Amino acid sequence: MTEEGEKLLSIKDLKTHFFTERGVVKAVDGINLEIGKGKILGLVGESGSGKTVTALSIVRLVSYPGKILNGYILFQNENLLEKNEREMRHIRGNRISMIFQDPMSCLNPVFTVGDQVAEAIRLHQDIPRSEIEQSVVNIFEKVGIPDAKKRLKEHPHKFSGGMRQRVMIAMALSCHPDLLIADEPTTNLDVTIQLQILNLMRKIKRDFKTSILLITHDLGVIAEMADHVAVMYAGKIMEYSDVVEVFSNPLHPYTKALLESVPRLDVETRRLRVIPGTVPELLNPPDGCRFSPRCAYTREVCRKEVPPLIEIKRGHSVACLRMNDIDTERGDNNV
Amino acid sequence: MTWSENWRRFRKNKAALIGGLIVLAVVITAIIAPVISPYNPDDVVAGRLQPPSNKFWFGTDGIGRDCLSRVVWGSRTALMVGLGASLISVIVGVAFGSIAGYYGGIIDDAMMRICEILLVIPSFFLYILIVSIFRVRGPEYIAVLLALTGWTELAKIVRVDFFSLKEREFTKAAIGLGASDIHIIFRYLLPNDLAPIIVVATMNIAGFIIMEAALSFIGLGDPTACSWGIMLSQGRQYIGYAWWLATFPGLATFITAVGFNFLGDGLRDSLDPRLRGTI
Repeated sequence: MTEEGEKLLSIKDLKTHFFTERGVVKAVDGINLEIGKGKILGLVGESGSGKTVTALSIVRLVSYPGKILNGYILFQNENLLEKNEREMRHIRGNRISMIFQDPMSCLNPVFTVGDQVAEAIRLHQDIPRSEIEQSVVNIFEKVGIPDAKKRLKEHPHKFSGGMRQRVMIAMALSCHPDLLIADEPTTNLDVTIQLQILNLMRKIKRDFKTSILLITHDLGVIAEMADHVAVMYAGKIMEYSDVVEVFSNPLHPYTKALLESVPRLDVETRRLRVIPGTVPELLNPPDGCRFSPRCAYTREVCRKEVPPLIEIKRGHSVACLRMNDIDTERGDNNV
Repeated sequence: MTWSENWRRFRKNKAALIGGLIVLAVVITAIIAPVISPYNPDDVVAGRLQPPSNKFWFGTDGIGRDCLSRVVWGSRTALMVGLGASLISVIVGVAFGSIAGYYGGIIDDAMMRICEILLVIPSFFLYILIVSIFRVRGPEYIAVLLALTGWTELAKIVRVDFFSLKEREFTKAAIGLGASDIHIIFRYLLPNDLAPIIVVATMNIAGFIIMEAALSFIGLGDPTACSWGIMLSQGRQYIGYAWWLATFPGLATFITAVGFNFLGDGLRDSLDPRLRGTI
């Protein structure tokens, strides 16, 4: 897994498990990821595949009974897993910021939005009180909130979903972080607002050279936004490549199946393909390849051996034991 | 969820408005007691046990002091005990509940056991015990005493509310932005829990005023103090032929307690989002 340019974040062999009463849930089980400076990495996968846990692991906010067991997370050449809580607090919001899925509930209802953005600034920067309002207005204008001076004195309930997400983005950007983690930032917004928010994020990447970890299950969003894509399934990375390669030449059966289950206007098909079954319960993940119970190309070997993530060509890695065979063979378990 | 909206909702509620007016009247009475009371409450101004008349509206007591003046001045004691005890119990209860609710785990377990120990001790006996051991009798001591056991309910409420508030997305988002524990508690958790705290604190005032009267009545108060409970207990021996002695301080206690209860109920209806069904 190499890529051109400087790396901002690299995750090596990260394992985050949850120790529940029923057993150990291996939510993230040995993943490797890299994000280049000023790049967008899209992390795709079904619900429950470990995307959000990966994000929370980066900022060390995995809550009890979850635990990061293994690996290291190098951020600007510092291992985040060796930081203490105070150092992490300084990094969160300052160098790494997060925006969340639901903008409706992410703002504190009792304070004005201006207050909240000002607070995010004050947490990390020593700016005199008199100048804070101006910097809040500046950020509001940057994220496209019209009439910023007036609106920052309003409470969150007067804002629409899209506007709230802009406020969240304004808070996240207030300290010019190097990495922005966006956990399904557009999932709860309607499509026109989605597009606006995505455009805003692209602008942020361009203007501030901010790297973005974009977590989503929407392949359309990935195609629009990402430079590189990591496909995650049941706590493991299945395929990693640049975005063009993934969409034009997917090699992992799971990636292929995902792409085939997206409705397309330009290709004529009678019915959409679905992937049979559901994401396995991570209390008892299947032996061998975790996708093997649902894969159309499964052979005996898939159920025994865990496929390693192998770089087959520059910048394109796949974790499948049979990827060389499946080009010549049609899936026979699929309907 | 704005304050002007809450005020509008509050104004529509008749009982709450009446409660508010009663409380306001009692507070004003207490403040201007020296101006409105016709006599010095401790002076013997007439013969003993005079019935209500034009000169002494509420009559005179067993040693010839003016009852109206004593009821008026008694409002100071009642409010001091009620507000004082409520304030102390809010400070202690909120601090206790915040720490238990925010940190959870073993800290929470230990703190809640302390709470429960206090809850299972019959508080009345505790008061009697403390008063008779330490020989403290003034209203200020009674306020502290009442707060000593009165904070547990608030602590429990704040604790459970913190459990849910700290899981809310805006709190998580704030943690994600690098906010510290103190910051989270004071900017995210407490402000969002203000409504139930205000409501419970207001309702508690009524309870504390009644408790003060009760403690004074059974002789645990300062017999020289000007307190409704003391007046009640002193009037008890004459109840057969001097009805006014116990009636007026009793009414004053009752009306004040009803006022705070109505006010608390009204605040609950207009502030507490859980009872309104929206947030």
